[in-house]
Amino acid sequence: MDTEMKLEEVKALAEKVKSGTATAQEELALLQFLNKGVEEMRVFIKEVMSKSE
Amino acid sequence: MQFNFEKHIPEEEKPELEEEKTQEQFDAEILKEADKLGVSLAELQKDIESYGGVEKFKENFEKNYTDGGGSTYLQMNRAGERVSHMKSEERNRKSEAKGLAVIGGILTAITAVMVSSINQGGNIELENLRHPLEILQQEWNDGFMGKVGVGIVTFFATTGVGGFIGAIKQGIEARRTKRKRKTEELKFKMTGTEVK
Repeated sequence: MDTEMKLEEVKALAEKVKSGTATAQEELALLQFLNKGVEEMRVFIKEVMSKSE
Repeated sequence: MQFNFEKHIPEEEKPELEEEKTQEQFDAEILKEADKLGVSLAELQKDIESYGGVEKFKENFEKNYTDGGGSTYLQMNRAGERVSHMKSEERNRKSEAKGLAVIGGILTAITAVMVSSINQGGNIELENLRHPLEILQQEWNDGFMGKVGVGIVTFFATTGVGGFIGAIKQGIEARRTKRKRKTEELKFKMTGTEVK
């Protein structure tokens, strides 16, 4: 997730899921984003943890 | 007694039932993604532990990526380092921006999935996890992204993944049951026959 616009898209999708108005397809898209995000987060955590100074 | 529902369903109602089949396929994929998320989160927890734990992440993150107050920008500790490591600093800034954007997206998405599951399944375990996530979301909205970065890592490192994913799946199942009941009611309305 590189851009602010994508974050805005996630927010819009999240609002629909929270309010119960999202379709199953939209819920799936949010979960797929979550899975991809967690993988990216693992890379970022590794990078932060590997810094010694 | 068996009915051929397709035969009895008026043409204008058919698209809804056809869509239902597609929704079922999406639901099956959602359950797969929920399982995948469970595996990813368990691996994330192992990573955090093997790299030195939450405290190590907090220490490194604050030292290298923030000004120590949880703000989003990097500030080197000594003036000399700032000059001599300008390229490194720039690289850190970009990496930090990307990392925090991912964390912000994850926070937003996981809160939404959790709230949706609570609303659909009424799960008590998730209710207990909702509050810390809502506090993190508020801090994110207030601009303390660095603090949220540490907070979300702490949340994932200390939350029981199995129960969390199980509750999400419970919410999905509750929605499927609700939708199935609605479809059966529609069939009953059209045929006058109770569906077992």
